Amino acid sequence: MELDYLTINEAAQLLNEKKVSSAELTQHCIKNIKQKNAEVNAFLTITEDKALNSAKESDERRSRGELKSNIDGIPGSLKDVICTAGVRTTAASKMLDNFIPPYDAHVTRLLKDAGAVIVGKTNLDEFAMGTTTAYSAYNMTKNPWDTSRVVGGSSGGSAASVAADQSIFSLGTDTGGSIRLPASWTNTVGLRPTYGRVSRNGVIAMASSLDQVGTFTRSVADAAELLRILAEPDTGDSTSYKIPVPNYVAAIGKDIKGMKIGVVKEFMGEAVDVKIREAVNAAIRQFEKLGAEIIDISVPLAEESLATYMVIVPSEVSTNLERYDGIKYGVSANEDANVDNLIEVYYKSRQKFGNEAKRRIMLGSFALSAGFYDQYYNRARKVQRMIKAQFSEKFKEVDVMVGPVSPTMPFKTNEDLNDSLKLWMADLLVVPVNVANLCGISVPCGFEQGLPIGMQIIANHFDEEKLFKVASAFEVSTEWHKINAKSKIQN
Amino acid sequence: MSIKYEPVIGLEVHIQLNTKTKMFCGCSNLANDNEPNSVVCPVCFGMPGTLPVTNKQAVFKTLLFARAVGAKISDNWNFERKNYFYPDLPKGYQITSSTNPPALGGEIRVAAGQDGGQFSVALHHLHLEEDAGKLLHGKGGYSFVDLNRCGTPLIEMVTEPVIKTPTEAKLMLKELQILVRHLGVSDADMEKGHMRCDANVSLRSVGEMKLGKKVEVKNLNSFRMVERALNHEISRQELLLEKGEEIVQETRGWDDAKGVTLSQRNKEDSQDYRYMPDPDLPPICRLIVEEFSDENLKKQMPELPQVISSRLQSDFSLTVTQANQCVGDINFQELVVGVLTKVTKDNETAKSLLFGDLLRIVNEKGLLFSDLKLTSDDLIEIVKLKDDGKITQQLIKTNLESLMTGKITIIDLKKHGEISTAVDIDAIVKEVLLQSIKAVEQYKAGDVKVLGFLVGQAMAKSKGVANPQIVNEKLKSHLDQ
Repeated sequence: MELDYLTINEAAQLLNEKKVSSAELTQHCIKNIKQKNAEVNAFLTITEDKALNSAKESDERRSRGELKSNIDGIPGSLKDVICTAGVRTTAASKMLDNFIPPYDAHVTRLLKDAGAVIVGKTNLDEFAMGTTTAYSAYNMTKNPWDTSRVVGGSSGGSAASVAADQSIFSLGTDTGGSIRLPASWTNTVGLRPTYGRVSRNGVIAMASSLDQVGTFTRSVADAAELLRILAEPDTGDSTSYKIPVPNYVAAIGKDIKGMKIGVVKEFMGEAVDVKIREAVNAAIRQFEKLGAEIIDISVPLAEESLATYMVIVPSEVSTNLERYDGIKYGVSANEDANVDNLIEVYYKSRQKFGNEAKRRIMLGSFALSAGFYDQYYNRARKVQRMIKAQFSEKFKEVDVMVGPVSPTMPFKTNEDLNDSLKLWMADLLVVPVNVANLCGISVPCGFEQGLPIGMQIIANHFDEEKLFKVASAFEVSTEWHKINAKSKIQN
Repeated sequence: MSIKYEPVIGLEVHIQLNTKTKMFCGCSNLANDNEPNSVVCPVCFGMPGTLPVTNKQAVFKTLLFARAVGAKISDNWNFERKNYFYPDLPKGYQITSSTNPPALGGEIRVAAGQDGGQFSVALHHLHLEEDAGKLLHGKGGYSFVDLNRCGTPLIEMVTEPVIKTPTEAKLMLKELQILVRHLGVSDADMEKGHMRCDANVSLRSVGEMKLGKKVEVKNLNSFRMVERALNHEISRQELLLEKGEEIVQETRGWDDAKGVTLSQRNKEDSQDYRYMPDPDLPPICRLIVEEFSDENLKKQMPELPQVISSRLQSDFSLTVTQANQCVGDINFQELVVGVLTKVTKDNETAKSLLFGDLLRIVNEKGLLFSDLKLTSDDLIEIVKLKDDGKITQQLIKTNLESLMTGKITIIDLKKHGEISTAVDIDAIVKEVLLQSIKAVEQYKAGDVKVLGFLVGQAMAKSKGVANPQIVNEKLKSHLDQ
């Protein structure tokens, strides 16, 4: 039985036709993890026993005809900021090297309730801060398409796990492109839902006002299938919106004739690699063929997004990371020989943070200092409101907006990856979605020198149905998503 | 207090709300006497990924209190993070709301001030926040963290610097205690830490408008401590000013055993808390939560203590003190109203029974009015018996506690009364007359005042149970023979 690179829907169909069992699918993924993890390093923790056990339970349910959902028995993975009861959750930080949460994140619970099998926890930049996974305290994840290249970040492990066929889907988080960027560099579909659509409860926070859980899949339909499960409103997260969840799957495969697609001028500038622009322009012509109306638009304030983001994120990071103090959980210097007072416990324990975390703590602490608050954080929030308003205005003219995801092809792993500014620039085209509280999806739209290129489709807040409609119409009429990295990483 | 300087006092009072659950999680809010770290959850521990969810009841109680003190309630306010490191603060920040607080202004009116007159203390603002845990300093140089208290909801009430004396500060706190108990928002027991107070004290020359350098005094855990500590701090500052020295702006802690305030930290050490709105908690918008609307608050607002107090004063000719005693305890109030509506309004027997003996015994024995076995009907009966001369004041005094605790009933009391009239008063009177020849002579010589002494002797002999009226009559009839 050919089990390579199945989508959720394909796998579910095989399961329903009794051509394969959940146990076999799970073993297939675990085999790939074991074969490739040394090279790719997508996983920080492999939960083989638990996974095989849930697969067995799923198969038993199936034989009794008691399926919980369409993803019952489908193996997936979780970015290691998503808490899993009884399973180590590190946020790729030495601070949480020994942390085993006694609770599941809301999304973990939803996946378990739907019968999904969780094969492990994936690598990321420490506390989701970065664009390459080079800031993981447990070594970077390599790009399955070319292991001399970075995979993107911060949800790099999740992207790689889907690209290397180590899980059929993966959950990541996207605070400033952390799903869409690695998706674009791995030929996967990366969905960042609207802020507030998916509960953050039990997801280790980076920048709380921007963090959002999303998905990596091999098709747009799979993303819709997962979001239908994950979008359940949660009373445990006060920023989770208590609005009904549409049947996203119904948006798949619909005609897009007459839909208005805006091409954002600011996203197609000189800063973007010409090959990437060409690929996106080709995709735009495809939309035209499909009967959509293409409209050139300009959202000038989108260019202020990155600066806004660079103030808001470190500010929130600086306070969110204060709880890691070596007192209650995680790694502590309390028992170290040369530590004999409280201040030393703090200093020595918190030295375990990596450089990027320290940088953002310092930047954020400065921005929030008395006298600077209005000048930085408060002003950034004001600009954020202006950016939001401008996007809202433009969404009166178009149904969705399109543009590239990344301005460049993936960096080489031997480049200087400590140049913060260069790395932040990789997020140039993805952060506007976060800052303006929109939803966005990255879909495969071409290749350059054997490496994938992603196109970004953006919709207004809570307009995920439009995203799915446009993205799936593109996907169905093109072949890009069918190309996988298998040949690239054969042993 | 010298005539040269006058003190200016402002208070910051933390009022622990008596909600069912904590401020931002589902843990019980009654963690007072539990094992350390037994009333906790991942939210209390600030564990990774956990999120706060606002306790609506705490917000409601805050707004009810705000309305009761006439503060201006904000339609849109928000929680914020106050960032600092301390082991009893698991998240590394406290969730509070002082920058954009739920309510501004308002006042606490005190009905009976130092000189019996009224005064009022203007409020700056009040906000809602979560409490931190506690540190227990143990052996081997270690401190232990107990997070039971962590996340308990607190109102912080900040007054304007308008309080003129330590006694006024104490009276205001007592009034506040009555109010929050009456509203049902807090148990407000200072000794148990339900109500905690910090005071800002400064001195200025009489006639001067500008405020002097202020000192913050902490650890004021009882009404008595508030008054003592403030008196001490005022004298200390006064002495420094007399000597021509500067007051250092600092925080001082009250040491109750030594009776002094001690320096804790000065202004230079003051921290930058890097306040920012809490992104985990959307602003509280009153327009979208019906429960928090003015209409609902108005509906839920009980009659306020001071209104009740004035009504009682005019309805039953009570003194301010008596009326306030009623307001402080709803069960006592019901008893008083129950009795006084059924006897004439200036019945002094009833008033002295209620505000004298009854209140004294309750306070001395630490009883609760809610536990008393005496009903208002019982009390009315006692008043009648006394006014009809069927029982004596002494008999009431000796038996009241037993009646209150249910050891005896009114029927028993009546029997005692009958016995007291039936004792052989004649025999006692004769005995007294035989033993008090001198007094008898005086009486016969025209000194009728001595009769009182003889009555007293006879009463003592009957151990107080004899009816004094009958004793009086009997004595007279013997003497006048």
